[in-house]
Amino acid sequence: MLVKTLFWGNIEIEDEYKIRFISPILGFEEEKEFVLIKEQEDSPFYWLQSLRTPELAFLLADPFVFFPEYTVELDESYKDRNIAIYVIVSLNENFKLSTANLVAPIVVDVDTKEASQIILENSLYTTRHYIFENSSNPVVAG
Amino acid sequence: MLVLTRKRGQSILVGDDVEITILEIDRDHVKLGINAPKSVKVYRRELYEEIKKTNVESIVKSKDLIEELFKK
Repeated sequence: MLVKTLFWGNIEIEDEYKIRFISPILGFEEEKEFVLIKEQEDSPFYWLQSLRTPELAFLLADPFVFFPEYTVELDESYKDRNIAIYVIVSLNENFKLSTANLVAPIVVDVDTKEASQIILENSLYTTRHYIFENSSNPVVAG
Repeated sequence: MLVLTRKRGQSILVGDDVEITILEIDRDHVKLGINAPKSVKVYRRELYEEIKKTNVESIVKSKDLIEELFKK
């Protein structure tokens, strides 16, 4: 499938990387289909590129690489499913100040390719944790 | 907006399967208990809005930043 992107022009991506949001990225309710591709082999970063809007791309990270203690409590509907968890990174111009949103991770069913942004109500996580400091402390105590 | 007055321990029903109970009242804090099916999502509004705002701010806007990040 040919995917139009803002940063890399038109790129050919295998269909298997396509995911579909059944519970949207909040604020992007119209955006259902994305491709999720690893930045590089061995990289903890991933690209989430909209198939509908070339200008819409997010940087995701494997949260367990940066926050080994990170815990996500999933409801029973995820029981016995093969899932992957990602967090959205917010890049800062001083990239050392870049943050990850730990309170609203992206959960992907690896088999069905169905994705959801879930909200961890009643957790201690916030929308902004520094990723390059070895700490899960939020930027602003919430 | 429908306005209802409730006392501690009383509840309201929203539809057939959502029940909101007033558990505690302490000055300007009210503790609510919510019984709802898993398919009904219940969030504090300010958290919901904050996530929405952070999502919008997280759109990758510059290739320079990305390149800097991946040089490391």
